[in-house]
Amino acid sequence: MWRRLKPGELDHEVVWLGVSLACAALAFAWVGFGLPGPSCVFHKVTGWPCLTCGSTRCVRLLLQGAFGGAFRMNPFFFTCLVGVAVFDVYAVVVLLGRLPRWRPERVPLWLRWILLAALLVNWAWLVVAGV
Amino acid sequence: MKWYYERASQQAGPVSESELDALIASGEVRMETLLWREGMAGWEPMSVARPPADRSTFAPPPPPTPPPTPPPTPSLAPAVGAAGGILEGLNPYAIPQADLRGVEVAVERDGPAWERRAEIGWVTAGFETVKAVLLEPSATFARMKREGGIGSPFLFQLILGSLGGLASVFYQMLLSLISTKGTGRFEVVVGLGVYAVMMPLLVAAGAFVGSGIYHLVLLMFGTKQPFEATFRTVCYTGGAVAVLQLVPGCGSLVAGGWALVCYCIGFSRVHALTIGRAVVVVLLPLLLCCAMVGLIAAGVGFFAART
Repeated sequence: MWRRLKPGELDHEVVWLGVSLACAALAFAWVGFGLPGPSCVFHKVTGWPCLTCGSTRCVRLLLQGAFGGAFRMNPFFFTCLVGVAVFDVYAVVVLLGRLPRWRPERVPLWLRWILLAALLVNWAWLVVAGV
Repeated sequence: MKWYYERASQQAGPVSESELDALIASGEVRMETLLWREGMAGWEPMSVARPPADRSTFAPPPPPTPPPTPPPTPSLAPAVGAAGGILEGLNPYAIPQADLRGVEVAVERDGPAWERRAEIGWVTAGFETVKAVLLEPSATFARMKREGGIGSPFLFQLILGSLGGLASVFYQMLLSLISTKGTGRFEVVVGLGVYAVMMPLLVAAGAFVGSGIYHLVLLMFGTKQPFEATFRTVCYTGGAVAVLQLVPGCGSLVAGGWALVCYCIGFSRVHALTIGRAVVVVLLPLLLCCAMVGLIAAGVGFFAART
């Protein structure tokens, strides 16, 4: 539902816009300074990719402008990053326009099942693609 | 007649009338404590279910009726195997589990001490909060405010988290300098220096991203508490355990493990979850993002590996 913020209510649009921009700056700095990415403990022990394997490589490819390669590295994580970008645009629009905010009552059951299914399908893709 | 009562957001009992009177006299069962007995449609506070005026007389027990089945609660808990949840749902005559999620048990939430730092001083408030979170997490999070702004807990995490992180970097730098020779030392110092400068930003980003991930998982489990409640739990835990990183060697390892325990207890008390569900909430992101466990360690360990 769309509504105005109550007095004293946490302004999520400001918070998460700031956090996402700060994380983007951190990512640039991390890659720029050549700091190492993490190694996957699950992959080392089992030889199989974990549910989020390829996320760091996805970010690196994204920073290089290789969107296709970034998507293939981890489609679910890439979609999440696209979702963050969409949210940032929404946040800028509602903050500048002083518009009502979108505040859902609760997470619908069908959305929870879709997210779980997407995670599992993504994991299957990582295994098949040998990420 | 047997009574069931709520204790620490869990179902306790059954107890007899005389045992219940003893619990009331000891203060463990209070006016706002939820009670249930056979014949009642649902859980009620003691002030309604068994008011003081009724305790001296005993009405004849109502005819036995099958206990009500708990209302269906759509959530992913059975899909991820929450302890005991699946078996309970198969028994139609199971005693109703009190759906205490979102039920505000009347406990005055005014803590922790950090929230009163203007009155008692920053150092005292910080010390008392660290001690309370590490040594009495259950009582501390039971009394922690769920709302009231994110500034105070964020500041707590930022200060102590940065101090703890810098201590870890310092110890790693010492080890690397001892084992590195020649110009390699300069590279170690520069690299770790960059990491140290980024530390407050890493701590700040980690507080929000970590809270966001945990709150998303909590939403999947049907929590009714706001994001602030999760953020406060994460920040007060993170800041308190960061102090353990001041201990060289095993400090960081102990801090990580202690943080997981505090998260489980904190989410249980703040979001009115069973401990089993709280454990699943805490472990799920770790299982999904196991690579993130090594992110910080990789940033520091890389420089040691180059020596």
